[in-house]
Amino acid sequence: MSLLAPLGLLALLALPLIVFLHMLRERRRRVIVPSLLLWQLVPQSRAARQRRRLSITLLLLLHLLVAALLGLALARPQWDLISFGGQRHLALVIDTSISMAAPAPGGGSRLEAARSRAQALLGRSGAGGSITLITAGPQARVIDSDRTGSARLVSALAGLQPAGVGSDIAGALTLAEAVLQGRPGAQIVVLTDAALPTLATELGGRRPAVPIRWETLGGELDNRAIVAFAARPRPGAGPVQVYARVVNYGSGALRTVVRLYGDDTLLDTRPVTMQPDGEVELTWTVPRSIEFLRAELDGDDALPADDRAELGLAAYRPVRALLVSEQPAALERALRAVPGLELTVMAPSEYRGAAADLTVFDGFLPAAWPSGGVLAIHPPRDSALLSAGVAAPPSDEVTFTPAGAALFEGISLGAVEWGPATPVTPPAGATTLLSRAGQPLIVRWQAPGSTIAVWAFDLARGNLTTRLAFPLLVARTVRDLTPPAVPASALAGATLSLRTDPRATTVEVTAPDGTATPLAVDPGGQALVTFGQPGRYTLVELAGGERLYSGQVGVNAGAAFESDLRPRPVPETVAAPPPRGEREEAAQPLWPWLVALALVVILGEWVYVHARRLRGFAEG
Amino acid sequence: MWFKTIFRRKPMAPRKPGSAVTRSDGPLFDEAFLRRLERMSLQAQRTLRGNPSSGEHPSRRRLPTTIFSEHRPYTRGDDVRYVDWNAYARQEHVLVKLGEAEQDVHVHLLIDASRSMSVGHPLRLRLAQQLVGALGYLALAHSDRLHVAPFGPEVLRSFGPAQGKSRVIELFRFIEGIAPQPDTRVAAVLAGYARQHPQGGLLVVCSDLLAPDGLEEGLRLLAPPRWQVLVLHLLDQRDLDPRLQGPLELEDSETGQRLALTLDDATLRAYARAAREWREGIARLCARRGVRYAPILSHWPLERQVIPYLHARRLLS
Repeated sequence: MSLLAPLGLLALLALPLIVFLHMLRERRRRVIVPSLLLWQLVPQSRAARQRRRLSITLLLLLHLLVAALLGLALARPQWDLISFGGQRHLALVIDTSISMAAPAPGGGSRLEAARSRAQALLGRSGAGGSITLITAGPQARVIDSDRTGSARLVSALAGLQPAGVGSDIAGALTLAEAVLQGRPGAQIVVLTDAALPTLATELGGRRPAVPIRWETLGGELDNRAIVAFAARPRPGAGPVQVYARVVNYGSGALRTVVRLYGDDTLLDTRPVTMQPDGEVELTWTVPRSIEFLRAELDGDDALPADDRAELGLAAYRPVRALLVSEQPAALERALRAVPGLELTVMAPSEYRGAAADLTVFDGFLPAAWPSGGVLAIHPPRDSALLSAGVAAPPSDEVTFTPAGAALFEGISLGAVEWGPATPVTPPAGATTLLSRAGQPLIVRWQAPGSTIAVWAFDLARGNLTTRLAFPLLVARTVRDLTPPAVPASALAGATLSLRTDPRATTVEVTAPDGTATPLAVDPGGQALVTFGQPGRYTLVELAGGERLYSGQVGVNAGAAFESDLRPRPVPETVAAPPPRGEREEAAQPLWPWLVALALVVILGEWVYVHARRLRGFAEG
Repeated sequence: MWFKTIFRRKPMAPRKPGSAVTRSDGPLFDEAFLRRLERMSLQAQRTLRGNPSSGEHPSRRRLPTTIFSEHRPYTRGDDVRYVDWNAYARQEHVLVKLGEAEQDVHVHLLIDASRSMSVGHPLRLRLAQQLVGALGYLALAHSDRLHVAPFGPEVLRSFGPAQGKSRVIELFRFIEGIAPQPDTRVAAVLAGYARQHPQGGLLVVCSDLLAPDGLEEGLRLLAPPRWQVLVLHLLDQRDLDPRLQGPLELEDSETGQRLALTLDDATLRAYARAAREWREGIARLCARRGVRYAPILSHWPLERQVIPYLHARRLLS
């Protein structure tokens, strides 16, 4: 039962008023007697002297009953029909963060406890209702939705696994509210271990549209974790600085060791001592030749997954570049300065369409665009690959477009004389990055298998090559036309938008458990990779059967906001008022019945009083 | 609904001092009653001092008369008409015939006009006025010297002495004009009245005797043979059997004093016992002082019950 107007309960203040009026009525009746002479001779018992004692009469009870009924009616109570077997629509939000893999008090993991509780809710919900299963991992996801008791839901529930670092409870609640919108008897049940330090911040001030019930699983657990593991490669072939931070999320001091492995070879064993809620920062210097690092904490704690961290050391992706130019000196110098770039220089006459990650044409264009990244500088007017445009009047004023902000940021081009430019009409979908008097100077577009950039100006007739901006502009253009290296590490559950080689058609992702998953590359050269398990992932870009690139990513479960397994206070169970339409469907107002009952009682009282009065007259 | 009774007006307060009781209640008597009453007379004792020149009450004194009762020797100045010549012939002594003498007496009617007499139904003051009117009428009709004195805390302006039926109308007007007084002092009033009227007489006290100072001190100064006292104790049935129940606040009609009580059966039984002992105490006191005591209930009809009751108690003959 719920009250639509709880302030109406203030009317119940009439109850003490009625009692007061009855006490007033029970006040001693004053009777004038000729004299108190004889009355004063009467020995008075204690009971006879007792004053202002309220006697419980039928009339008093009836008045209190009427006032109580009317007071309740003013509060507009209503029955919740769902409580009497109506349809109930439930959204089960299950926390699938890594911390749910920690043990639960009753045995098994917290996720297993949540699964059991969810199965119980699946069986208990009323017939005809629906249940929507939502996981709150690093990203909130609707797993399935079906009728109550569906075997499909039970199967989906059984397949839930810890999905990664972080729990997007707020997103899951938003999804649940969207799913339950407009459904009568809707309720959200959140099953979580509440090991969410930022929960209060994420949910602060949130006013749920659907009642939310929080159920906390798991209790206080001590844990140790490697929450940070990073490397800073030095230029050239020098050694690499490695940094790790180890935290003790426990109530007792800890003495343990941290082992560092380089390409699966033990490099160092470091003893560490940590106070309760203390942390230790560790650094190593490792040779540049090592490609992959792993740190292991001798934790022996509730969550082994975050006792290990891995890190790839490949800072640059190798680029095979081909420079086709009659006068390559300036460009060659600039290109060779780009880290990880392997350059081949040839004259236009020698060019036969050799394969390269990046091909740079200076004053020359082939009959067809090569695959991979292409930089065409001062293309000839008579090329079939580019439409000639209208020559613009001479002007030194250049225009930077917003699309070129990333390319030109921090580069001073104020004193650059661009010289004459080839009028180019960019193809549809091309992005002009720099123009002069409406004529494009730098333009970029994506073609099948290629990413093409055109510098329409002639390097030999301008002064750009003599400016400091030139090698910077060349390096940025190379990075723009070639994909970056894979990240050194990622958090478990994170989804990486991988920019692949323009020639790549497939990315093969090999998980730590050896499972290889091929992912198709979209036409924009992007592939979405989700790192579900902590460990070492291997990403291989393939163009047909050709292997273009292979990189390794360390996926870690340790994070400051995940490894602390101590539960935080969850918001109170909220019973939000259902929307009006839903209220009308699911609720039966009680106040008319209460008013009717009060009227019946008043009528009964009237009859009783008048009958007694009439009887008194008859007897008199 | 009972709510309307919460702020109900309180019952009417007793009549204020100074307002007459009987003016709007009709005449005290009708003429037929007075004619029937005239056949009766007050029963006065011989010991009372009276004036033999008038009146119809027997006197303790013997006077020369034609109605023989006894002889005494002739003395100078005796009327020779009362000389018993036959006795003189037989005994050769001149003897005078003596006979019964009649006298009038002073009849004092004291009427309690306190406020307690105006509480109840019917009003005791009304019955007291009727009684005093009837007795006063008898006194005037039989040539007695009548004094009517209403009293409260003290004796008020009184009527009389009056003699002869010609004063009846005046008497009735006086009685009807008696107004309730705030309280009463019976003993003090009786004592003061006895001092003011040393000649004595027949004294009738009509009162509810609800006075804090009692009766004994007053009766002590009204001792026979000079005084013949009748106490007509006017009682209200509600005084003896108050039909009250529950929590009450009793207010004294004269003093305004209040007493909170919850009347239950035990309390009412105790009250009835106290009222009985109070009446018995007054009766014993009267008997000890040679005073005739007659309790009269206020609801008794005057002619059909009160007068026969007084006749049976030999207060009237």
